[in-house]
Amino acid sequence: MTTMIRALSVTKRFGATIALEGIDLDVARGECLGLAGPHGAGRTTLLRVLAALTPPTAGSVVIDGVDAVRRPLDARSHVAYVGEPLPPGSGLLVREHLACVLGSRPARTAQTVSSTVDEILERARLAGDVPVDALSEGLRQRLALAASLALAPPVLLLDDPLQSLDASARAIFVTWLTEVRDRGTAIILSLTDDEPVTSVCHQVARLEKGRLASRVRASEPAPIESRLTAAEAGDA
Amino acid sequence: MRAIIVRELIVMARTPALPVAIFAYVGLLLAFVLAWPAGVPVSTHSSVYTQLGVLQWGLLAAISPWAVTRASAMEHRDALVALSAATARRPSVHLASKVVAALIALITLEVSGVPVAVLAQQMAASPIALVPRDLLSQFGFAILVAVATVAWAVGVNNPLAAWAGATVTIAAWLGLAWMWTPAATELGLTCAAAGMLGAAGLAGWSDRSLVYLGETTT
Repeated sequence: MTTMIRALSVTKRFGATIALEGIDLDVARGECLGLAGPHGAGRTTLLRVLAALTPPTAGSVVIDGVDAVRRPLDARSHVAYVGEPLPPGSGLLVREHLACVLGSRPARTAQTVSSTVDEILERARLAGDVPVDALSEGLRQRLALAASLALAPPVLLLDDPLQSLDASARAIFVTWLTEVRDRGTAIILSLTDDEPVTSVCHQVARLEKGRLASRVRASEPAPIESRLTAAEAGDA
Repeated sequence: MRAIIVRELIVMARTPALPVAIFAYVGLLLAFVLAWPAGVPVSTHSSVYTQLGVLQWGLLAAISPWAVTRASAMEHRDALVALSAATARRPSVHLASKVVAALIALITLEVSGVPVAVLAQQMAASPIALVPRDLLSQFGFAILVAVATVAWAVGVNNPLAAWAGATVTIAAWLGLAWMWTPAATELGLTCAAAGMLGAAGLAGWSDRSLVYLGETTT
């Protein structure tokens, strides 16, 4: 299977603070990795490093064959990242924001974008004629998540994407995420320990204090909570 | 890039800054021509059209940076990095789009003064060819204003400071260029050249300095 995300010995320090240390990861095409761990474990930092939004202090990151450390701007065209900071609304309506995000990616025509925007709005249950800046944090996250899923990029990095969603929205996005994964997108999904179940991930890695504490792999995706239990049993 | 330019134009169209700027610019030009149809009495050696030209440059120097600062989407550092990541486009593409949108707004502002310029040209019996020539010079000035204002807006996370910085920069450049060449055509050309050099520098800087988010522990 083609490896879409490969991180080797990734270390990140902020001054004297070690946020990540010696992280090795690989995620294949069509595979989903759950990234579990408590707050402050380094999950957001790791996702930002993989998204080429933060440079690692040491180590290498290759995204879809592109060296994300040496060519971060090129690597980003293979990635969609959902997490803080969310892209600014700047007075645009939800529909206009989506059209911009989708239309700016290569190989999309204006006609495709227009129909896709309507489909996204309907599927994500978002109102198109509302200013992005007027949305609640949860709805803004829903918008960013919907845009990234509609893009179906080679690599999708999601930082606590389901946390602020209600149960019905969660079900919609889990189904959508599964479809995108099955179409070949490599996904890393960050989850807090108390995150409710999703059934999207093929493997779950657990971060603790910037280190990869455990990693559990299964041939078929199963509910994450059972993997978290297995991971914790492995830790013990 | 088209989707990003459209984004910037939509943001500009949502604010009342450009209509307000056009109203102020045309209103003041018209007031000048109506108040002094033969030109300012203390300056009898130049026609009303020539004097109007000087007033146009002065008003544009004062109004243009304000209009662009008020009308543009003000994205600063991390917001611009996040936008660049969401659209998978280089930061320079976003800044270039902002400059293009600002340029379109400024050209609209400058063209709005043409009827008053034609009125002054008729009153002074100057050649009609002067009007398009001087308008082209103002387009050159618009390039400088667009680049300087966008640069300040990206560099300073405060609209008031960005407006003040851009205005001082433009006024200083205009003052220096005026001493070197007071002719409108040459002035427009030097402004356009400076603007294009500035745009190249801004693009290079953004693709080096706006690649990553600010560093915070997460």
